Amino acid sequence: MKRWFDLRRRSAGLWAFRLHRLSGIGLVLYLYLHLAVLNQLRGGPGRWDAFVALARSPLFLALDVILLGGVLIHGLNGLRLTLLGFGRGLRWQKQLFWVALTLSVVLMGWGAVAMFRR
Amino acid sequence: MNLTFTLRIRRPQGWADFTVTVPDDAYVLDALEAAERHDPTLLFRHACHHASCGSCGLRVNGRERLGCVTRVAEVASRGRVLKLEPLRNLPRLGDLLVDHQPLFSRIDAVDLPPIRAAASEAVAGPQPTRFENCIECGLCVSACPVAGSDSSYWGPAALAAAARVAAEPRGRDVASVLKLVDDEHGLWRCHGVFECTEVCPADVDPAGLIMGLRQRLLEGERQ
Repeated sequence: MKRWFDLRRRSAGLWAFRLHRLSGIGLVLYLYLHLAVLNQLRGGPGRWDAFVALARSPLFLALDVILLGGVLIHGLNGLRLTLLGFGRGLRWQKQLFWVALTLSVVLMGWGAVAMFRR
Repeated sequence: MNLTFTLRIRRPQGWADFTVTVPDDAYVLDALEAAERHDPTLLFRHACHHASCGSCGLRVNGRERLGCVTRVAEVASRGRVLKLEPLRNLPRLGDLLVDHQPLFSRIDAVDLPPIRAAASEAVAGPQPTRFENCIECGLCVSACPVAGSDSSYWGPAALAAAARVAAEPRGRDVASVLKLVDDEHGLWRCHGVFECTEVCPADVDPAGLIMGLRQRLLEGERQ
């Protein structure tokens, strides 16, 4: 796995591969974190309200923005990989990655603004 | 004009530095031969010096290249260190020398005929022929992150060879070749990273061929 992350002189395809794996691992970890958070409900309304207050802190919102970025890049690059897997758009695989990345960054930025404004 | 620089070579015991001076139009292989004059025990492979034999593949500053056609001036500016490492994902025999046998065995299993018809404008006379593009250098195998994590993976070169058989059977049994590579360690293991295509010195486009072959299988080619 160490070789997946040799950063030297690689092209867009490998950056897509790395981001896909990092975001995938992050989303799996998030799933378990999410289940742990839901477990707070068992502690009653007081405990849940305290958690919600914490979740509205800037640090948590920043983590939400990172989560949104992970979901976006994993999902959009997943669509790119699906196309490529069916033999579609092979010539434009790099451009498709840049489109996915750009869309992810733009939507993440939009999401960040929306979250911090509330 | 000459170029003097440090050639940093990854040997089994660690990095070794050689100060070499070569003409400014020299290639990495020339620099290696200059280093070999300092230390005749240095292990590396080469043969043709013109990108036909596929022997001199190595990593230059982390990137897979053929030493014989990579100009030193392109990869090492004056005063800089030029790092050379062996190819990855193939058994290392020593210094910059790797064993290509696992790669050759898989290509042999696919049984790609080495000669193909050449495109020709001629309307009469014998059909001209040429060699297949792949020079079996192993750069694609080294660059592939999947080959780095699954030693059973067929690898880009062998899968591209299978795709060539499927495209131009020349007497080969396409169904048996497809059956061979229609496997979790074959076509379906590729993650579409395209590094193989990026580093291929012979424009084989292994990733494109793998995806094309997948498409054929999805369309029920084997039925």
